[in-house]
Amino acid sequence: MNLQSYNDQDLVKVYIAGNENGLQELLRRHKSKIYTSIYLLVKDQYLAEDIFQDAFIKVINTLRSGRYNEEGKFLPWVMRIAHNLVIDYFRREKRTPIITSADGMDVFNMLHFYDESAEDKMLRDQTHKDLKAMIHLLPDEQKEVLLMRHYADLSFKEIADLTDVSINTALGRMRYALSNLRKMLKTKEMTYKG
Amino acid sequence: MTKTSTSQNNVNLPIPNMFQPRTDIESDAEIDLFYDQIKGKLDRLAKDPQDETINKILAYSRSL
Repeated sequence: MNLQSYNDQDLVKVYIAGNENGLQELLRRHKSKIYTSIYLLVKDQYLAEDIFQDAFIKVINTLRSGRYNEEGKFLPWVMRIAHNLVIDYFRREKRTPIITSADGMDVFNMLHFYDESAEDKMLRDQTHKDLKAMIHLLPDEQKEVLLMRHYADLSFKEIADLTDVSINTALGRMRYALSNLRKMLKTKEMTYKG
Repeated sequence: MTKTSTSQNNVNLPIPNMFQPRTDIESDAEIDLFYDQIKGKLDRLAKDPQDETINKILAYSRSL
């Protein structure tokens, strides 16, 4: 049975009917979207792995118990579960995500001491790090929308539902996220030139 | 007379006013163009969970 041509809802049905390959295909299809969204929020690989795993344990339990609402889309539903787990984690830790980079370096030092004469690969790696650091600098609500839109591929309606805001607010947050990233990149470019 | 004020918590903001509503003219077209320009870079930040994590999830499912 070639499950790659099945849509998510059909894969859910296949899985509920007892075929483990349904879950395997859903994981293959969506693991990157879900994991990246979690990882860029919590900034810790091991924690992201745990939250990803916990989210899918909840998914499995819900599907197996017959409590899954077939009217909803699979990915936004899993994203909601993952999002709630991330919020639970930060509530437990009583801290908010943001500011330092994953390796604990001061983000602005990292941006300012850029080595212009480095090899192409180093430049690419640095741009990669810079962009990740800039995403971490965004306010949580803007970062969430950017991650859900870009990585999880959710619609603004789905993001609005998931974060309990209006579609216009979700759209506005995406705009501000992009605007702020643009400003930060401009600032970085000016630093290089200066 | 009672004075009222709204406190501002900017402790976590790296640059003052950076995230305040924009006052400069920045068109939607500019933002869209910028997004198109960084999409590829954003895509390169995508990561997969470890195979071990996927295997644990599948093993949990099979154990039920």
